[in-house]
Amino acid sequence: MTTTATVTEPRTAVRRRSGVLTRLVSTPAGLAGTVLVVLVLVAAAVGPLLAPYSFAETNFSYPYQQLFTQGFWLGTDDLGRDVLSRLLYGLRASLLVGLLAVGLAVAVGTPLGLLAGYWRPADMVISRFVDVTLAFPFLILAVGLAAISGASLSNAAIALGIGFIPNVLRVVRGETMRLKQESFVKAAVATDAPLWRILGRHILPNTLSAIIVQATVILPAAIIGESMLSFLGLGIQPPNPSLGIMLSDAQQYIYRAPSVAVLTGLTIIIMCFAFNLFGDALRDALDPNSSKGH
Amino acid sequence: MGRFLAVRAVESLITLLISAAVIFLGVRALPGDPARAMAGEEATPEQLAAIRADLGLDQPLLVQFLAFLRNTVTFDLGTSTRTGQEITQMLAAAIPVTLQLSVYAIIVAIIIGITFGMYAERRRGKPDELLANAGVLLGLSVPNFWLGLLGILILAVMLGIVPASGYVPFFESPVRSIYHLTLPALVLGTGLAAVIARQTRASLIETMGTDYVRTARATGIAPRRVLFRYGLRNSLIVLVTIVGLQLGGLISGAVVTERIFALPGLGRMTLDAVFSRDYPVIQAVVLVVTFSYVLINFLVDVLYSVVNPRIRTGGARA
Repeated sequence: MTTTATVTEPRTAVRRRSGVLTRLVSTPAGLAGTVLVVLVLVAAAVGPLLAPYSFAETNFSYPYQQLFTQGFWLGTDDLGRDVLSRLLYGLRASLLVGLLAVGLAVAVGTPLGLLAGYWRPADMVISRFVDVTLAFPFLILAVGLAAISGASLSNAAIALGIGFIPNVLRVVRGETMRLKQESFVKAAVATDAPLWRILGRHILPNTLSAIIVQATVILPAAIIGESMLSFLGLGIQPPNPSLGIMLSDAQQYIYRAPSVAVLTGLTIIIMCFAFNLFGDALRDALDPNSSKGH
Repeated sequence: MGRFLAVRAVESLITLLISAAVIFLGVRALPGDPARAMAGEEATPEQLAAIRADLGLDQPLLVQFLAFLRNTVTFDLGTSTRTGQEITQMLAAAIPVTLQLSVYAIIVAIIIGITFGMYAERRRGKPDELLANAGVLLGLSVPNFWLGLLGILILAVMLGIVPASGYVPFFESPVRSIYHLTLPALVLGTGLAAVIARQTRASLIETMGTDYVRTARATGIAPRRVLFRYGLRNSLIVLVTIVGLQLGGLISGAVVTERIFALPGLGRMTLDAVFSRDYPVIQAVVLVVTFSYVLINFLVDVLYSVVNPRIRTGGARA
């Protein structure tokens, strides 16, 4: 009896998810979000192959080239570096930091959320941990990490990742508290299943969709956070490319070549808008009862 | 309610203590030996030992931590290694700037956010609902400092409507002060406005579907009045919590906004300190930010329990 319950539950979850894709692309917003996300991912994956130049290649004879110049379709910056190439590399770096931050937040937030939602005494301790984490805004964490071990890509990702732990933790905790009341979990408890199995085999698979949605919501925020840190000099360090560094450079010569600042900003916006749109549509697709029509 | 607040007070105190411990240990993890930095490279071991004893570095960690707490509580934050200035004085000059900017940004965000959220709710089921939703998502996708750069370029340089930078203390000239901070506040407020718009829309959809709103409608109260008196009023309660929770993001945003507009606030103080390795200042700023975050959120809870008598210890915080 209990074994059937434990085996079927994850399966239904999987089956539900396969129908999700169809529902996701059936709305205009969902379709647009999915297409944009795929484009961003492809651009990040094969960007260096598409880029006509290296991100660091300078052409001192061609600084501040206009848009649509032969050879430099999106113009060049103050050092004559090709803006299109730098955008492709920068997008890749920003996305990497965003993904690392989300990975860290999920890796730490999920187990803590499961424990906090399942076991009340742990909740007390973990809630304090969340409070402390919230008291350190990611920028302040980045400032601290930069002071201790210097500004870098990994420190930016760590600061952002820690900053988003509470978001993941809250969602998983809430889902766990809800699932704890479900009969299949109670059945598992009745068979004296060990804690790790109840959490890992019975509860975790059913929190996955909530975690995925949360991850798509955090990612754009992390990408903006990365650009902010790099802009301030607290993230990726030049000459490595990053959208934040490009904006910080572009600020110096914004009156001469505003297109660099505008294009870099638009790249960040398109990236983040893609994931926000996708995440929003995904949430609706995963939960047909939410918001729309009810 | 008294019990709820007592529990929250104890929780906040614990959070403050742990935060202080984290900062204390973080400062210990900083590279370099403070005694050697003060004494110079040629110092003898005896001189180093004397300086260590003077700084209390030879004491057990717990004793050092208690001293650290005592200094924090008495606002004895030391002096800047870069300028030699008292850090308390530096903070006294910087905090009003950041505070004024943040409060102004919150007000701007609430006005824009609620207006937009109400608009998005009213458009539900109509073709331009998509547009209203996309607008909110777009607001979440724009890096605010980029808006700042463009704002300076277009509004300040090309059109000359607002000043590009500069700060005028509020009590010197309130009008000019607000005038100078308008663009920065708009820039800092956008992200928060998008969050508020989204929340306002969601909670309006929920409240407008409740029985008491239906009853109010049935009694013939004008739709606009129903929206404001019954719908929005309930959404406002949630707003208090959101602003409290978004405070961390607001502080991070304030740092970058101050940088762009050259405002002499906490953000600039922080960045100057980081790039000149001015550790006492970094420590002080981190202390101020974390402590004010915890205290403001405690005040938010107090306010919340006053506004909403349903709050009890359990389930109030999620």
